[in-house]
Amino acid sequence: MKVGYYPGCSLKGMEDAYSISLISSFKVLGIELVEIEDWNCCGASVIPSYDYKFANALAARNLALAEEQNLRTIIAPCSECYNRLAYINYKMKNDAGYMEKMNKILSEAGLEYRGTVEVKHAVDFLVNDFGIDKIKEKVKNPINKKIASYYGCLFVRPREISVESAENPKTMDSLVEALGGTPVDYDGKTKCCGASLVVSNEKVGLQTIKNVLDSIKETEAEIIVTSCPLCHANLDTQQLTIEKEFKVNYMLPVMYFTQLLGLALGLSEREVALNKNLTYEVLKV
Amino acid sequence: MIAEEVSKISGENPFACFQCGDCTGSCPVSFAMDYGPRRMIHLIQLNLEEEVLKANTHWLCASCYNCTYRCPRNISFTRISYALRNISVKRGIYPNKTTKIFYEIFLDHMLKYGRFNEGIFVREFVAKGGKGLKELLRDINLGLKLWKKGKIPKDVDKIDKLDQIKKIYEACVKEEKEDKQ
Ligand code: SF4
Ligand code: SF4
Repeated sequence: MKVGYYPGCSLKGMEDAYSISLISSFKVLGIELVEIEDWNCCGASVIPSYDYKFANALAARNLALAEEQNLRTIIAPCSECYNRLAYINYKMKNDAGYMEKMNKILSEAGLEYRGTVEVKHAVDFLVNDFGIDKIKEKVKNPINKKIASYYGCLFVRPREISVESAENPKTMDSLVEALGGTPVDYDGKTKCCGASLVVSNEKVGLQTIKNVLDSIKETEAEIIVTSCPLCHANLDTQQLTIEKEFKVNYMLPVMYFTQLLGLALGLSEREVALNKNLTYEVLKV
Repeated sequence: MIAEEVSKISGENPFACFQCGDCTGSCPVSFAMDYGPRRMIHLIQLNLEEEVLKANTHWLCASCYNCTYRCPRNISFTRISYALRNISVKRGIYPNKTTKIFYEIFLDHMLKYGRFNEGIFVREFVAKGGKGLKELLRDINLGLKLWKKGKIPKDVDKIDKLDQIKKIYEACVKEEKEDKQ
């Protein structure tokens, strides 16, 4: 099975543990990812802050490229990328006037988008399109742990592109269960980690991350799984900073859902780049 | 008028708001905001431009879409935040130096590489003084840990058809100029 792939900048950079584990674990499942040729940055939250229209047109260029390259479905593993691409896709498909406006801009670059592409978050694709049963069949090493799935914001909100209810999402929990884990329930599943606030306003940014970690700490979770490089960097990389700044102790190992998936499917820690997580050592104590 | 400008950029109608406060109640950052989303919308309705642009609200917004998801009037304060930042940036108003440097490098990368280039970003960000000394020292410490793990900011390839990005940007800038006339 082949599916289009929009990696985004983070997965090509510091958060490559996500792309490494995505590619290796999907391969075991027989899913081949076809990268959109010459894709550009989705604009993240910075370009829309600078120039909203330009940001939307940047997202539209990626859709036009995918269409030109005959990719009917593209998966975006980064929730921010997913959000940007899926929303513009929704707008263009459902608002003819908007479609025309965007295409007027794209035409300056010799591009056009007709609305034939579907954008999916990687978790959504895996659980709802590929299917839980097929994953279960391939599990070799069930993960016998209590696991908190952290959904964050951008694939459950806004409504137009929401994969499922933002109040109590279940997709990742059902994956965790299929992999042999025990999902834990907590009220911070879709609480915001502050995204890039930690760069622009560190004090507030660290506080929002702390709020999420606090709500997970109250549960019996042994592992946190993430589905977004921004959430991951915040909960994993910044966990140590927060422990120092606030004099707290979490010791909560964080991993991408694709790393958990790969391990359950029998891949080695190296094959899913597990040791790249800053909280990796915590897992070993 | 600020209300009109916001509508034009974001596509949202601030006058549809009936001040229920669901947005502020749902906002994870309201604790640090000068005004929560509800009060901000009220100020926009009243066209109190100076008051609006002076607030830190739109700069602290983390674009989490909680307000948008819960609003019974289907208004997206997230997109209104984006619009307020667009308006501020055009007038050279930033909440702090860090944000200004962060934004400027990001846009530059978009036009120069078509992608965000972490490796170059870190070097430029530090060189331009985007970090205070205390944070810098702490980050160097963290950086060493990351580096040991092979987690280093990489230089990504630039895209082939960079001219397309430039043309798209120019088209947006041109449309805006025409709009103003
Ligand atoms: S939730 Fe909507 S209607 Fe209620 S105050 Fe906020 S913007 Fe206004
Ligand atoms: S999108 Fe911004 S204003 Fe709305 S709830 Fe999130 S942080 Fe608050």
